[in-house]
Amino acid sequence: MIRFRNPGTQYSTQIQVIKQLYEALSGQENFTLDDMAVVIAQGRLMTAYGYAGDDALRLSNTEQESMNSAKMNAKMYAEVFRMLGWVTPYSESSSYPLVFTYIGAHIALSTGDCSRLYEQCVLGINNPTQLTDNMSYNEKLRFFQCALRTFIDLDGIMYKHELCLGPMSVDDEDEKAYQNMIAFIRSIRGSQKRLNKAFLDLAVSLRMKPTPVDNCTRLPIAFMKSCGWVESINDSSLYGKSMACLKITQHGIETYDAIKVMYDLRLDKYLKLEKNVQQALIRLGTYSMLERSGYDMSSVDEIIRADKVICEGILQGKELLFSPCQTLRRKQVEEALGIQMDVGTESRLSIGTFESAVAVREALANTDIWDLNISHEVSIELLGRDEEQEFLKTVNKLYSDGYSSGEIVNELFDYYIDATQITFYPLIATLFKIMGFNCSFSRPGDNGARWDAIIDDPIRSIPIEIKSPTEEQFLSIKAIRQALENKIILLSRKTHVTTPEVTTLAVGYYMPNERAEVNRLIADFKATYGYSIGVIDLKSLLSISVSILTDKKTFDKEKLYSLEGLANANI
Amino acid sequence: MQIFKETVNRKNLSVLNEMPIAIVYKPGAPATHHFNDEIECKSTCLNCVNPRCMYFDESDIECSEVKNFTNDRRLSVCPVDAITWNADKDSPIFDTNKCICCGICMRRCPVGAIYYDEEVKVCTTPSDNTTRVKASTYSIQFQKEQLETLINKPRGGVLIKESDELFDKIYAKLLSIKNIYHNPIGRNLLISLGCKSAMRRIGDVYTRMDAVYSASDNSFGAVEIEFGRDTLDAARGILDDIAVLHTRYGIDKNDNQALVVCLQLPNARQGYWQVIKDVKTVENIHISTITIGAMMILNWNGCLLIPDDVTYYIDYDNMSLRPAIEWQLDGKVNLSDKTLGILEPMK
Repeated sequence: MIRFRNPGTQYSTQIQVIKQLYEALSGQENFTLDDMAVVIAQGRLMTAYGYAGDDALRLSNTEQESMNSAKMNAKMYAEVFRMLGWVTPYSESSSYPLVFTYIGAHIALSTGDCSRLYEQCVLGINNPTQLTDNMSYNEKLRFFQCALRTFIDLDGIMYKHELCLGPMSVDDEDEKAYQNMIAFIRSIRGSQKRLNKAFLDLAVSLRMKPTPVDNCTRLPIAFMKSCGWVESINDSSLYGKSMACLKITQHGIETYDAIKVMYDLRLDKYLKLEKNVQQALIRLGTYSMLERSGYDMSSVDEIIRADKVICEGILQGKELLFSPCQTLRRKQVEEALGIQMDVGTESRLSIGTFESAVAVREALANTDIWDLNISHEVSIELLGRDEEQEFLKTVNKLYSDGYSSGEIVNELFDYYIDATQITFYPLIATLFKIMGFNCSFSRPGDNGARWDAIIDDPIRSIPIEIKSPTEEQFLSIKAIRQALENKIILLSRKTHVTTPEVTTLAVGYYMPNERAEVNRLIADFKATYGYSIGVIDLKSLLSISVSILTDKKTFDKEKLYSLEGLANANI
Repeated sequence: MQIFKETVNRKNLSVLNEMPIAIVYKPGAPATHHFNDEIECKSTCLNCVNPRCMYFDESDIECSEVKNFTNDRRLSVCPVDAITWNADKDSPIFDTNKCICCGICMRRCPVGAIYYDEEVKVCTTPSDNTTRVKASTYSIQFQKEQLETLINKPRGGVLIKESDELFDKIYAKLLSIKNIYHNPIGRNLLISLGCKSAMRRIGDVYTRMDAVYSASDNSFGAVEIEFGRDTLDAARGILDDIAVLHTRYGIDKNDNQALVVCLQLPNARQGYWQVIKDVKTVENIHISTITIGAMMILNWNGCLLIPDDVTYYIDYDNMSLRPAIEWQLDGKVNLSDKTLGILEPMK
């Protein structure tokens, strides 16, 4: 199966990026991923950790290359652009550095809507090529032509996994193989079990997990949507239940009708031809792509006419479908077109010149560690509700069974992984009560109450935003925003007494995944509005509560009122 | 290296024989050009070499207040990709299935040749005041200079007259339109209403706000664009945007005329209204709210959008946009009370 390994990027973004790259780098003899990363970041076409431009480069700059988001972003574009024939390796011996191709230059310098040339480039994607030596697949096909044909032959609608089972896994010049593929897909339709089994079998045969196989459909679907060949629909006719499918558009049908009558030249046939014929085909292939894309080719009319005469025996009056920049090494293409794409300076941009700010980024992720070193008796009088008594019993039972504090915490933590709001809100309120705070929770779904729980204090009340693990396991930026809103609402509506300096809390099952970004936002909120937002996870709350109940130890309660950022209990 | 020219660079184009002194729009027909001797003439497409009905200028999509903003560079005027160029006729064509009648292309057409008559159309019938000429360096430059003069000529009249029936048709499309079009619709309407506006790139999860704008009076603000029912999320988003712009771009929170652009005003019982009021009470930040429909009405009437602390500020105590829009139009809006939540909440 053909592996399209990149995410599906937007057409408009691809165009923006290639234009920016060409403007900055076409004066160089060739360019590297570093060059690309610098241009993309400085052109404000990527952000890292909330920053753009040079700051984004500094924050991405790590010693571990695969963790350098600016460089990985550049690599993703390099691979997509190489597939589209806009950039190509400078030398025959290695994949990098790169140069722009003749078609790439036309895309980059387009003053209008280059969607038609983009479409030609998507149609130009074919395998094998001289640029795809060590691939893990060996299908011979012009994928998008084959995909359009498959859509038409399968009544216009396909589910994405059928792309993997069908046109991504067939030699399209082998008519019998193609018809077998169509018959196979028809045979699995009607039963989702059959589809799932066929898809799993395919993944096993490829020695891949199902998710990466599924991911291989993202880029081709994005290409087909960008070209307006397919659109998303919900369909239940294929497998008996509604599924997000793809439907070929009228433009997709017309595109296939136009190309099916063309002479489709592939690498193996090309290589068997005389050099003068090869060169004529390179010119005809390139010029016909431009002509179909709406370029005025009248200045090369005579060359086209002469080349058609040279290739008459091959083309037999048909139009040529051949994309040299996507199929051949650049020297042959440039020689035939009489151009040289690697003229320029040897200058280089380097990510290395941007002093790494990774330490700054990591510093943003600092967590406040609370040591549990203060003796404290649990405020049992606060724990009157049935659920609260039940919780105390559970802890006491585990403790008397010989569990250590840490083991009790882990046991309870695992138990609540599937908790919904109905059990999670009261649990959080119970834990704060054990810690000695007068905490009450709101009924889930009560839109009148803005916060999920509140610590009711005579002068320093604290609103609490709670995310149960069934809503989101890791606290998100959304919870932080809601914590800010809770603070503003409390200060405005004055339902409980508080002051601006007192914290507002977000509580969840796990700490946020993107700690640096959450900490940054908390710092932004503090700098702009002056409010402190504290973040606590379930494990920390359990650790404190269980310590109080079993070890009679707790933390400095005053810390909670002024908490800003992430808190972690040191059990 | 020979770079070929795209044939979008015309073989032919049209130029005006005489420069009008004013252009007057009229619903249902191309605009009329007025001359000193009181003669009128209908407008027709000039087959512009750089069609303003299709592309914004680069400067329209940048806000100088936030230089490092990673904005989407799409220049397409049509937010829903309904306009393509007909190379045979040298004029724009409109996909009526996609078109949402926002009127942005109509307002940008330098001559007023694009109009709405049950659907958006362009007049290509030659007029007495135009001459078709071969495209040449001279004629292209001549047309460019004519257009630069023309776009500064006074304009009056109304592009499209609002009505309940028309908005029923438009909102039927907008309510089911794909997410990818939400931000472009908001941004492009802002530009058409005289703002510069930069919107976040699709897929950029780090840039918080949907867009930023700077209005013709240099006021600046963050924009949240919300087509769904969760406008409360837009209010939260705005607080986030103001903080990010404050700390990362140095925009003081009180200089940020933040704007929520929503498809429909939230229902009266929704938390949004009270939260907007809370933010004003506690932070003295006035978050303006406007609907896509209200922006379209302003656009059809040639108005500008200049958010301030008062004009589009609506909250729990006053949820109606109607007074602000009627003040700008200097007349009544022909839209029934609560229609589609465009000027008042539906419930």
